[in-house]
Amino acid sequence: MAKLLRAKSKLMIAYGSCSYEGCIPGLSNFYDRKTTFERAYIETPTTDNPEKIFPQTKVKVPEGELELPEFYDTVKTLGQTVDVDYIVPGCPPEEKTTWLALEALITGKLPPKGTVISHSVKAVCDECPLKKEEKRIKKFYRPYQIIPEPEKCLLEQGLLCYGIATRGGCGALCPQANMPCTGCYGPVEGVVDQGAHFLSALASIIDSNDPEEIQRIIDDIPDPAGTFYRYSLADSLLRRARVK
Amino acid sequence: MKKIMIDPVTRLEGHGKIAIFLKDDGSVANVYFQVPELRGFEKFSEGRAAEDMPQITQRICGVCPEAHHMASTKALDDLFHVEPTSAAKKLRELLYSSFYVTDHTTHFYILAGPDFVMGPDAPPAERNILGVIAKVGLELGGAVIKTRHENHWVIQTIGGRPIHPCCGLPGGVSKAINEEEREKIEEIAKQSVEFGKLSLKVFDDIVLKNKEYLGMVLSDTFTHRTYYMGLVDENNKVNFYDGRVRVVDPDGKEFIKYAPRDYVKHLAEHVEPWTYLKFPYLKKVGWKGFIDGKDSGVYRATPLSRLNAADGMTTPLAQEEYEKMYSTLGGKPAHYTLATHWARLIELLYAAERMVELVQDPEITSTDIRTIPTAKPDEGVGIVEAPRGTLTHHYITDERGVIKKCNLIVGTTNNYAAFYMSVKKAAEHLIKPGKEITEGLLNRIEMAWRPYDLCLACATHALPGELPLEVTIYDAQGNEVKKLSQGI
Repeated sequence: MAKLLRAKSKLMIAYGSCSYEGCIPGLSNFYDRKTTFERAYIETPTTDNPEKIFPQTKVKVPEGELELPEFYDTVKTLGQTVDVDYIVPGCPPEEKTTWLALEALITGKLPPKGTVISHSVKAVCDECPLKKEEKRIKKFYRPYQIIPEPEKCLLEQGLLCYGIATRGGCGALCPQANMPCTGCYGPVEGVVDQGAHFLSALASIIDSNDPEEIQRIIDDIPDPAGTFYRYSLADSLLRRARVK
Repeated sequence: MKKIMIDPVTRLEGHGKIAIFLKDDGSVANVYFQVPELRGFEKFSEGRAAEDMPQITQRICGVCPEAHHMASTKALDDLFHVEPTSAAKKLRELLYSSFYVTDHTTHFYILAGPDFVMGPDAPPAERNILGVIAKVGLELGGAVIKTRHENHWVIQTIGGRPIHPCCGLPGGVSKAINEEEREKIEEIAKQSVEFGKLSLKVFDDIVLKNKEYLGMVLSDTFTHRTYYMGLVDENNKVNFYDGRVRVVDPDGKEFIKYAPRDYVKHLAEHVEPWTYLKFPYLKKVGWKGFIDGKDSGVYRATPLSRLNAADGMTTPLAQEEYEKMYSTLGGKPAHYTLATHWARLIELLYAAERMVELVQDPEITSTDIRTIPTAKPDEGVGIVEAPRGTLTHHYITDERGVIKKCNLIVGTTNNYAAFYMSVKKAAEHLIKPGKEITEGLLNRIEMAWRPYDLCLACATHALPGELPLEVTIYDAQGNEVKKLSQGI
């Protein structure tokens, strides 16, 4: 499908995080077809399937044959499948981001090929109005565990806010609703792997030199892979978990 | 004029596929409604932090993320054994009511309206929102856009973001609203009530006053006797945000009423090899195949089902319309699938009236919006009424609150067997030996599923949202004789 659209189109734009970096469905790359099917069609407590029937790509019925598309082991991004001209980031892209892309298309003032179209090339922090002081963290909290102080940087209060490793352009909506940024606009300009970028930033702000204490601090993060690669697993250097 | 065909795009994953097989004499042999997509949320949610689920699961769909966000947040309340503050519950329901106003508006005017306003035989180029605006006038068209736009502002103001809210936390919401915002929401809520009234008048003028349309609504072609499901409050009145799930039988008698935690006792899902979507049914009745009636476990969970399953509405204007609808349709429950559009507009009015009630509540600007959970998380179920049906989220975690198991029964999924049967019946009634298969005829078959407001993205937890669909008709030798597609 993507290949056909590419062949028929002058411009191909990866619109939104799904096509850009795999987004939430890309988390499926932690698993594979077999385990996904077993969960969906056998294990779930409401499933009634004693004969262990799975959907098939070709099924004979009395009247003829029915086909279903194949379910793959791995989620791929659009850019891994075909040549992409531009990217509009976000889950979803905010209105103003979409408008920026439309304007470029309508006026014909197109940026260089490969451009990620957003109002910012820098991090979400850059446009976040919350007050930032010194980032030195002794303990991470989960969003339900504390009520953050208003108008103060969430990361400095120990909430795992992804703004430092995420491209701006959204207007820092989540932090202003007292919730950490989760990274949906993808990496900042020039960064290949958003998760690795966040990890390295995090390493520099943990306030300890004692390996045991550092371990304790990090243990408070319950799902590092799913948090650091929430939207970008399929597009990351990791791509997927190994299929057993 | 150049004609552009993008035929192979009809192979797009993420759409419904209907195959109609004909006998030698040209009558219908069988119909299959396939859903060719799956994303596997039930699997890849494993290992995620529970508190991330409202934001992860809402990515199931760009059409009703608010429903997933809310069902998931309620599942977290249960999982962490925490009671949200009173103000937090009201803010959640206010956001949710506002979302209902936008969602039902979209469906009636953009997706369903064209059939009635333009007529089922109008060419597809006119059977769309632009055709509707041309016919009903720019003023109403403007009101549709304004209602949607302003209510998205309400969703952003309470939820933090306009499409995928981020406010849901176990025990409350992350953000309060101030008096200035409250005043603006109140104004929008009142305008939404007027818009709801206007929409019912449009329906009255265009559909109910037209004998041909009313005849179609009441015809056997678009009728099925099934069980009906909907969330009700303690007085058995319709509620979208909270309560118990009530199911009535085809005679309208209460069959079961269950608390969210008990859903597993009452629902089961059947698997067929020719589709990725499962078929839920009532466990106590059992799976008897694609048939209606009291002996079949097939149920429906739609706007009309919710009204059928309840004893009424809690707001005055919606209650008035509720009574009018049942007196016109000849009593409860109503089995006429096309009347679902009418029920949807009554729900739209209810949602707007409920917005007014909630936004005028003195507690709505309270900053007491969070209860911090203290108990160990283990298992939780959250249920809301999504616009397209009862939505159930069920999580089991370890003691750190990391998801071990996840099960989802989603709006449209509830109705899979029913909308499949509706399409089959309409095809059997409308495609006759020797009768030419026209666009108008195929559109009448489409009209059999449109009332369900299918969102196969929700159903299979796969994009791209509102329904692209393809119908293929095969003759007795298996040759393709006609193909129709929409939104692809």
